[in-house]
Amino acid sequence: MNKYIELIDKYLSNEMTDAEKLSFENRLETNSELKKELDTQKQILQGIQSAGIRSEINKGLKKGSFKNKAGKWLMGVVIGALAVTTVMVAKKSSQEKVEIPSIQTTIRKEQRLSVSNQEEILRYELTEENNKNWAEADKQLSSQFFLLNGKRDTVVETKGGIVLAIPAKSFFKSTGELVNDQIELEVKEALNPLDIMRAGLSTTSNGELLRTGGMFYVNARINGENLNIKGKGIYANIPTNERDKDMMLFDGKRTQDGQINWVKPKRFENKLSTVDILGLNFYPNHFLDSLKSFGYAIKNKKLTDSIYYSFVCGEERENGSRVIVPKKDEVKNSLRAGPAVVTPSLCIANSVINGKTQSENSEMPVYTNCEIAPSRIRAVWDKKFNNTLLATKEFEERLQAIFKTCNPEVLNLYLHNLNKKMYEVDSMASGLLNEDKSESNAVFKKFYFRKDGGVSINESHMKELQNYMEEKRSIYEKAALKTMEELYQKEHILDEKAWQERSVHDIKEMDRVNKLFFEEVQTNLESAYGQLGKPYNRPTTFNSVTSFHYESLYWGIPAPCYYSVPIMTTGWKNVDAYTYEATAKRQTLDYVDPTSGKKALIRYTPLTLTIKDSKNYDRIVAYLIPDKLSTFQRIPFKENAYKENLNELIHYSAVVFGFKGDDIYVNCIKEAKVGEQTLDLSLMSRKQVTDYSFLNSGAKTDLIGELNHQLFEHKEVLRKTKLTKRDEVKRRLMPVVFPCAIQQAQPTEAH
Amino acid sequence: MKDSQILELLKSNHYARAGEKLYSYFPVIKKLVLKNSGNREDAQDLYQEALIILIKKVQTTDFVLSSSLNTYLYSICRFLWSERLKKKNKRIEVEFEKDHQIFPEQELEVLYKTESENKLAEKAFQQLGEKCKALLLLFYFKKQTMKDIALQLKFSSEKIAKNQKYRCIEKAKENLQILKYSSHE
Repeated sequence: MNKYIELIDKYLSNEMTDAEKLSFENRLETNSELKKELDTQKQILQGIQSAGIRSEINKGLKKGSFKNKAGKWLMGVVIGALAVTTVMVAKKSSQEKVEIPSIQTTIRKEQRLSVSNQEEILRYELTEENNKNWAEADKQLSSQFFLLNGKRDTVVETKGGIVLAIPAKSFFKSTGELVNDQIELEVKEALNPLDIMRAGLSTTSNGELLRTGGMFYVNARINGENLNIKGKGIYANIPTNERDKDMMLFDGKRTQDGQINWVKPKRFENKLSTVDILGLNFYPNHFLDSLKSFGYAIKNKKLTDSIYYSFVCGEERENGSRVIVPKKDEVKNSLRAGPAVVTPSLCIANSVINGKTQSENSEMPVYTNCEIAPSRIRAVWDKKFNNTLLATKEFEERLQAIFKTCNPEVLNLYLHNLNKKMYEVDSMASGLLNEDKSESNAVFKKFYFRKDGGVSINESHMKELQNYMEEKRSIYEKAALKTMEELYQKEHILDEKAWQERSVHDIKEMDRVNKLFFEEVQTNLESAYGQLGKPYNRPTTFNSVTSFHYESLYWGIPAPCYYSVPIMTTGWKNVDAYTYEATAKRQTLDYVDPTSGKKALIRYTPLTLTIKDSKNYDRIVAYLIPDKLSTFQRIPFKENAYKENLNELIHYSAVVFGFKGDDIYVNCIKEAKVGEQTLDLSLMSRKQVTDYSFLNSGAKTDLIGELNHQLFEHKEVLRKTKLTKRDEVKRRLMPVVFPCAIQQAQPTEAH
Repeated sequence: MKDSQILELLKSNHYARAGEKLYSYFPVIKKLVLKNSGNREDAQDLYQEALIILIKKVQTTDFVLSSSLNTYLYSICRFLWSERLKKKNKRIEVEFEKDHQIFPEQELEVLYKTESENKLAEKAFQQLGEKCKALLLLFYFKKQTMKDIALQLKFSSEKIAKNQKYRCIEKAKENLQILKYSSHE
């Protein structure tokens, strides 16, 4: 402790002997620090005096003012009155919201009133109960008077921070007459313990001690006549530091001895606090979970939104206005018009897509059985709806239950009653669901019993939001529908192009394959005839296969594809037939001429190409380029490798293309030898590929065409895979977004 | 009640009773403040200040009331209020009745300075804990003995109460230093 304090105190309190005093005063002369301490301490003592005087004089002033005014305002006869004296028993934050008497509140316009400067303690003779039982509190607390226009909604804030929202037409005379004139609203408040104690307000309810969070008194008069509150009631927000759930609102009942007994406790309405609406989750139950399990980044709201909002409900679709999307079968038929053609591409395509089957044609899923349309959610999941009933944790919770009901009407109740309290809407929802869905009904009843309150919103703002909501819903629905239709239309156009491209290619391929076969047969026949010592006249022309009927040329060869060739010569049919068969089957021809006993032997020996890391490629195609023939031939894929039997009469080169994304990987064997070989593919630019030396043969043009076609096919596969994945995600999300549609759909599927 | 009687009450420390009587002078002050860009709270505050000054004056032995109490209070209030307005860069619009001017300018200067210091000291005191405030008020204002105070405030001995009193004063002085420092800023 500071060494001088005691000394100075003794000096100032006159507790020193004369000698001590003299010594002290001498020290003061020389010790400036002591002098300073003395001055400060003197000031403190003066401060204590001031504080003491102030508190004492205050008591007197208050008393004086009360006497003064009471005497002055003995006047007027008051007929029929009610006022509400309330105590809020709260401990401490946000704003407690009290409603007097209760039901609904709408504040149309906030209008600040001129708060009168005149503060009086007691202006009137009679209490709101029309008696003279004024309590100590009435006498100790000064009144705040506000003038209201009875025709208008008014918000009033008291000095202590109580906010009163007073709807128009709230006050009536005892005769039942509505008061439209200037109303005098009187408020007294004691919100902190100090004020409460000073006012001598009791905190007992029928003898039981209450823990109080503050008290206030409200009365309304016109020309001194007490008024009644009717209609929606006025709404009070009482400031507190911390909400205490046990706090209740008590009505103050005056007693004969000037005390107040607190009666009729009423629970506070749980006023909702709003949060940022974009931070809430308005997706259907498990929507995000599902997306996460599909490997989507669910924290990216743009992405998740785009997926959710892509579920078009078709509410905006009018009958007949649907964009015409050709059905898969129609496309096929239109392209395949004319004589039915066997398509070699089928057998080729199936073997090359590396385990991926071609997906169905793109068909836009439209859910005609609308439940909770995503466009509806999108219209309100918007910053505009911050600070409304929707921007609350409580609504987020209800929305989950609403999704389960699959009933857009339930959602509409919440969207269209932003001015109501949550529990009121809960009750409406429960009523709406009363008839059929007992389970949902119970859920909303449970919500109702929580008595969750509302969020203040003025009517014009609400109307504005509702218009906004409707407008946006329609816009979003239309936009989503349009986007989806465009998307699917685009896919359909691509589908159609693919079919065209494929059919053109198929016909060309048919010609080419047959030409190849024809040439190989000719080569083999030449050799066979030579071995048998017979002359062979090679036909000079090759007729396009398309001019023939394939069925008539069917020899029952169990080959995957049917090759055909015109038989141009008479005689030697047996040899020809054997040679044809051997060539078609690519099996060794070992023929003994029954007449001459001479032998004809043409060997076919297997080549097996295995591609290293073949799984890394989206698509692999392998070709043989025969030196004697004018075009290439494709190596079929069997049992994890590319296998073909090579004709001993022909020298082959082999080329393998691997496609991965936009890249082409290539390997080329100049001299393809029989036996097994493992190939590594290396990356090559498109230009390098087309310039490549293996294309020096006559097969060049054909091979480039083939390569382009394979690239096209490859892109198609990628497109279809993407589409399939997207549709798959949507298909799997369907029961999440529209839970009832699926429930209803399932039994029919089972039939 | 006559002015002299009120003064007697003040001299004998019957502040509450005096205050009751003094309320009758308040409306004049209220009018003054309301007319000069103040509200009722300001008026109450000002009136309290003026009364404290009066009371402290009265308690000094050489105090002689040279005019009516009403005039005296009005004069103090008028002066204090114009000082406060000066601080806010506002000028008093309503002219004061000249005959209410009873203090020489010099005396008022001293009065104002003492008053400002006093207010700061009071603030330093009000910043103390409840027990400290009670202890200091009982001792220095109510002039109760340390023994009674120890009993009332439940100190285990008079000595402990006394030590506590010193600590409270020390704390108040500290508060005052800080307040002075920050008010100079």
